[in-house]
Amino acid sequence: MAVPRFLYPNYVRAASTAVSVSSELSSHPRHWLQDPLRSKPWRSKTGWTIVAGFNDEITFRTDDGFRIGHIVPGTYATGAAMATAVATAMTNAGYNPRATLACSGWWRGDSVVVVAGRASQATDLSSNGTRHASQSTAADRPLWLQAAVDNRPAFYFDGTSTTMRLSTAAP
Amino acid sequence: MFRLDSDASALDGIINATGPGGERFGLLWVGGNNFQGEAYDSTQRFAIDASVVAGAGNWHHVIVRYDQTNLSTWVDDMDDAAATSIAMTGAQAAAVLTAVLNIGNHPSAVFKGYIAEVIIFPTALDQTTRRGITMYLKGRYPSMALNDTTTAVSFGATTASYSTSAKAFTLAGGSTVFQLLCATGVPAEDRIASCFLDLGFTLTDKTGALNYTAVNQSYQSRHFLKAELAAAASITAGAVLDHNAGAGGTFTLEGNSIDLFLVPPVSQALSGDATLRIAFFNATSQRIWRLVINDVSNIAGYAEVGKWSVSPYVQATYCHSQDFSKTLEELSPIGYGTHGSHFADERTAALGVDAHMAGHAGCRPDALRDARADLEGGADVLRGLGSSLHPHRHVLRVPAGPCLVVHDRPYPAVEHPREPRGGAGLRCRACPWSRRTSATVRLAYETTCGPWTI
Repeated sequence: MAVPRFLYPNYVRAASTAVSVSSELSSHPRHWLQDPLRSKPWRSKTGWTIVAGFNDEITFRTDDGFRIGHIVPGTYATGAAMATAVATAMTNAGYNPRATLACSGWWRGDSVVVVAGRASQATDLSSNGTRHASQSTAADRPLWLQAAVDNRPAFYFDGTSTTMRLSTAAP
Repeated sequence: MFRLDSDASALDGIINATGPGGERFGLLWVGGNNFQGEAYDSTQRFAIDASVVAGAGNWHHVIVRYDQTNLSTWVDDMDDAAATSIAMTGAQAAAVLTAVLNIGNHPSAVFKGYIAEVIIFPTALDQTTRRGITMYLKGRYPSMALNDTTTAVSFGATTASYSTSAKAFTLAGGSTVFQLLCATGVPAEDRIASCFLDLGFTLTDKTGALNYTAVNQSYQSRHFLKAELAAAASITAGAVLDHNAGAGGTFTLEGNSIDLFLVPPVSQALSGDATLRIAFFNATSQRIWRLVINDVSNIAGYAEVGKWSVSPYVQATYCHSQDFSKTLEELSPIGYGTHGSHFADERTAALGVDAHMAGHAGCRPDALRDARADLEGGADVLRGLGSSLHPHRHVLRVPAGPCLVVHDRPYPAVEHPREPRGGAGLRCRACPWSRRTSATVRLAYETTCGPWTI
């Protein structure tokens, strides 16, 4: 006979846990997830919810190469409104540095290895994919900040010894 | 994309490529409001300044280009007319191509500030290409200062429409053939890493076309719940109870030490039915947990989750026989804490036993209300197991079988619990109601099945 399993303790309900959601109805807030009553569920807003860093980036290929666009974050109540936002994002989309132009190195704050709040490696997003910028000395690693600019992450260099480098020539 | 600290020194090395002989190519901040592109072959140095209105404390987009003839710099601009350039001579090209890149440093100047993104190219980019790249950055970082009045590299007559009846987008590129790459179902080889953050569309046509339909049958197919624990905790299970996802809807539990989920170290699909989705996995200790909901068949117009659990799981360490009743401490050496479980993974549809509250006589209304809340909390689980809560008598009907549910509340523990009086069930562990405004209420478990084997 199978041995029963208890999910215990539930950290979602811990007082020290901070719960966030992509969207919520004011009548069904996120903190209800921490309430034992069955009558208190979390519920999203109705419509398409776009969150920066979660589902706002749209990539596509055209006859002049690969492109990346960004949909303005928010909740779009109707399909028509969402369609308009998608069209705007596609019209204003820029080039994909990797696919269109074969960049030889591409590092950004959301492609990292973080150890104790500091970035030990910025992973190469170029098509090569192997030219990672790194720092082996813990004290010399830049801080990693999750929402430094437009809800996107960045590295913070403290002006003393923090730096990252490639072990081989970049181009 | 970077920002200098407002107290940055007058000389900051932002990025440079340094070769084995000391040759360099890169970008510096030289004080005032000036950035400086630099190229140096260890004997001859070229540098060109480009200024902005406000340097430190603001995000900037800077381009440094070397085309074997000129060294050029753009700050918050990218058009040919906006360049500051200096003619170069000597063997600079060879020096640059053998150099090693440093980010945030320079042989004589370290950087104090933020860097969000760095891109390098093996070729000198022309104006059209620089515009295209800048449009990407502008979309990603809309607060970036940028003179983009002449930078549009438009995709063309892109239009998109939505059919309420078909619940589908129709995207059209006018005369331009295009292929949407960042949507559910797109082959991984066509994605970039960030494209895992897709929109949740399901494409019916992934080939290049003048237009095609992206089906998204729900009003919102993609949502997340995120729990940031105060510290990393060892987790072995995740569950969702009471959800409105359709049969094709998926729940994925992701865990990471940081709030970043491009390629999280833990990614576990939950499986189950229309009431309960659950997964058990090898122990992993992470601080931030995210539940991603993808549901293309939900026509309710919203996503809903009743209870969400991110937990370790514990198993019974004692064998029990039919009609025995044990307390939680006997289940496991792990004692009960200040917040309890709402989930159990085993379900049966056989005989039931009654779990009931005892000792209510004389209970104060507020304490009784708390106890009632606990009963309902227990019912959250039990309903998923086929049980029900009697609306008036505070009686839970618990199905038979190895269905164990533990529930407690963060109320003060009591010193002298009453002994059970026949049967198992939910009891006030003590009723010193006159002295307390709340009480610990526990749903003890009972099994009517045969002995368990561990």
